[in-house]
Amino acid sequence: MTKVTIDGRVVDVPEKTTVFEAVRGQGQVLPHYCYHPGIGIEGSCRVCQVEVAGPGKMPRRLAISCRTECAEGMEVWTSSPPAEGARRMVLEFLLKNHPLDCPICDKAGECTLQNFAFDTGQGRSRSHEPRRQLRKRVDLGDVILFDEERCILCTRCVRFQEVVVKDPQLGVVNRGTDSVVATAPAADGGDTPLHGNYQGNLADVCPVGALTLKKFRFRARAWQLQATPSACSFCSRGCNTIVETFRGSIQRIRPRFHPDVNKWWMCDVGRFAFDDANDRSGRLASPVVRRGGVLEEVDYDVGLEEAAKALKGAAGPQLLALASPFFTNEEGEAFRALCATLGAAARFVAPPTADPDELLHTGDPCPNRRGLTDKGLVVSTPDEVAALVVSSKAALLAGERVIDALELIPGGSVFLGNAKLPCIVTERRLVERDGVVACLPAANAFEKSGTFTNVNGLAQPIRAALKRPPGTLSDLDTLVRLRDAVLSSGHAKPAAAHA
Amino acid sequence: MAERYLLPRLEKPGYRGSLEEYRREGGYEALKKALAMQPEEVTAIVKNSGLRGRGGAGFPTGLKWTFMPPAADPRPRYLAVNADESEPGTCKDRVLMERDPHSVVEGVAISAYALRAKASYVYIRGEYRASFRAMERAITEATKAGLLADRPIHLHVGAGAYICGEETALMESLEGKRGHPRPKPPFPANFGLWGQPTTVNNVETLANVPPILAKGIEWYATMGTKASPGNFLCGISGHVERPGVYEVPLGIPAKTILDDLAGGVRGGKKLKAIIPGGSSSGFLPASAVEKLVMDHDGLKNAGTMFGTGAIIALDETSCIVRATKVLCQFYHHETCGQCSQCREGCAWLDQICGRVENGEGRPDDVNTLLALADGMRGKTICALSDAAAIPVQLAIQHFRSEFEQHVAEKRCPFGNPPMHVHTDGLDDEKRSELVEIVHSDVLTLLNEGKSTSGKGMAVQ
Repeated sequence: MTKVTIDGRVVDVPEKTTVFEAVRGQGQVLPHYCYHPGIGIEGSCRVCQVEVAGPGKMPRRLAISCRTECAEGMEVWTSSPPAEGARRMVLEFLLKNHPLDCPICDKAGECTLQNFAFDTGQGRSRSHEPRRQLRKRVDLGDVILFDEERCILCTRCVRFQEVVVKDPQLGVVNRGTDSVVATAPAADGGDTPLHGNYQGNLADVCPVGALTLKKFRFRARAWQLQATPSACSFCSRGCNTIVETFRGSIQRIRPRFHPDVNKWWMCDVGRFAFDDANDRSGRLASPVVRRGGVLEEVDYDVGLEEAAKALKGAAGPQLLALASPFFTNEEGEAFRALCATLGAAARFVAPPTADPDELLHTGDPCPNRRGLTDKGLVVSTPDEVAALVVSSKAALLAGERVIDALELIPGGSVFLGNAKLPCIVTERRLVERDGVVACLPAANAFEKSGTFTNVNGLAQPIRAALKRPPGTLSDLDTLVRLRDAVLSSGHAKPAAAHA
Repeated sequence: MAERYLLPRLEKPGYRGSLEEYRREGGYEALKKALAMQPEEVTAIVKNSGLRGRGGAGFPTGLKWTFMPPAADPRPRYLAVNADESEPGTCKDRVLMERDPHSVVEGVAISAYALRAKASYVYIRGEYRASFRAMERAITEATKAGLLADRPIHLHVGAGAYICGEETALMESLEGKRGHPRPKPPFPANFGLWGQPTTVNNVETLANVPPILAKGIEWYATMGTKASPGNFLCGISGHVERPGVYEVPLGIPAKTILDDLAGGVRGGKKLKAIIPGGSSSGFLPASAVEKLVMDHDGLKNAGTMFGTGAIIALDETSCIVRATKVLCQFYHHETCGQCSQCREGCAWLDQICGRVENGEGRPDDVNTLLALADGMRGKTICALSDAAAIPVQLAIQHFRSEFEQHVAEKRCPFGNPPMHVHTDGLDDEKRSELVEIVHSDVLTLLNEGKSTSGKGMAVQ
């Protein structure tokens, strides 16, 4: 440990801690642009200056805190007039050519240039010079749109590609005041589009509104977003996320720091796959049962009772019980209990896996493979399911996208057309098959809370960022009540303990 | 005048700087002497001689050499020779490289031996084609003659960036990267070229090494001052009768150089100011020149720095605001753009000075200039930001009334036509049009300064 004095307070910090991190440890975040703990120290924005004295006889002087290592006996002043003056001056320089189009900038409200300028009281600029005019809409591919004028050349994006993704695609071209971040010129003289699965992080690391997500542009102001901490369900990595909604729809998903899982990052697959969840059209909003040959809406008591009856009729080892790979540990447990009651093997369908990518994506589309396996559910690969549908005559299908998974498997569609389907728990509106007896509403991954166990065995909470269709039960409640209904079928109706 | 040891050889009529001629003048004897010693002994001699770097900072050369890791360190080590000479007003290294390249090569060879360097890299300014050719020839000759043994010297041509004269930017450039200065520490002696121990020395500095080895430190101490021994090459330009490069002892009065060597102010006019040590050293008024002593301490005491020892003289007809604007324009063009203050500040200083000169100044402009300069100085990775700020600070310190007069009268009191203020980010057509105008301004200034250089002693 190293003993340093920060603003008069003596603190112990681990060896090699930078002054910046030591100050952050005291609850104060100094302005910083080029420094990002996940990308590294550059030392070029110069905005994190503080006054330091020592070690030894080194005199009191201004130093950038991100690059200055704490040394025994060092003294740090974060708010002395020289330190604050130097930082305010850097901000004035950075704002000199900044377009100040905050009212139309997507970053406003979460822009660190805005925030730190506000903190230091930058109400006005002394500049009377014309602002630099550069390209406002540089198309960098499917994900990112780049505003050259807003860029403060912190080079985080350039270094993110070099250091984190190890696929340098961005650089600074031209010199001095003419410097701009750019991709390599394309053959037609335009900008080479960015590629790769981690482009979305560029907008996260950009401290200003220079690199913006095409998908988020003009969708909502930062302060309107309601943030729900969760974990990603699009592969078995379980990247920690913040799901941001506005007016009941997901507008953006951002990574949330987790030192052992995803650090500061997430992939574009998980980041952008929320359109389906936002699309409420075609969702099943209440239980449906077959009456006189047609499917009609009923209340839960009737729906559960009919489903239970039909399930009981089909009970036994020949009943194919398939769960969604998106079931949480809790839902997995409830499904296993239901299947035990029915005497059927509890399985979950695992879509084919792909090769892992270079950073986070595991290639396994089952976010909770590990958790469901631990719960005793049997992993069923497409080949295994293909074999099972040949030998099975009836099926219980439960959870998000389990029908989609089945339809993709050879023989799956034919099976759905011919088999007896006593109960389907689905997020789809209806499953129009002759064998369907009852359909119960299911939630999608953004509508439920629970835990997923990731590829490394870490159980992580996921939280509902979206509301389920009104009046519908959670998947967990549906499964538990379904089991109750099966157990009491033919007897007196059980109390609605889980309603 | 004290003894001279750098220029007499090349001033001899017919001297073309070949190996044969250089040897006839006693060349490479110092190298022979050095090779008979241990490298550490050579370093000690240079250290004890008190030789200070001639590239700008004036750091003691021998001391810098001792920062290299001990001989037991297995890493390869390098010597990088800074021949970028990009400081405006400075034209001394090219004289040595073009006219007496072996004096540089011998200096490099001795220094590389003292530093146990695996190889030396000479980073030559891109515009210095003649220097490159002469050095290339000299290195080939020295190599063929076996003088460099297993310590090869490589030449590298820069691409015309001022910042590549900064030692860490120079190394980045040598490595094939953008010429961006590196934050220090780590210092080059520990983490230099390709991350290996490296020493960076200026051309003139290394040209001082063979004479020190050959004639000894007592002889060396007879020239210059105690704190700054030896001679230096003073490039004098601007409004003087005989601009050129002169070899003079450190500690010489500036007046002696201006009046006796350079023949005084051109056309019998009065001196207004000088830039004493290359453009980064800013302005000193004529009154301060009277007693000015040209060495590191003398210029430090005058509130500026020795820099490259290159004097630019301005006569009484010169407009300081315009001169400041020209300097700011230079730094605006040359800032590497890495640090916020320098990237934005150099442009801002240029724009304000341009407005003031064009009669569009505002009453608060002078204070803004000082605030900007203060925000830029000493707060960035390298010293380019300081180099841009110092001339503005000194110009206002010594000639504040001239700035205020521009603002009050809404014109240049010297009747100069408006200058074009470089504006960033315009479309290419407009930009190239402006750049042309700006370049013609710079050319005019250069022509004014160099038009009589033919009368100089060394530079044609």
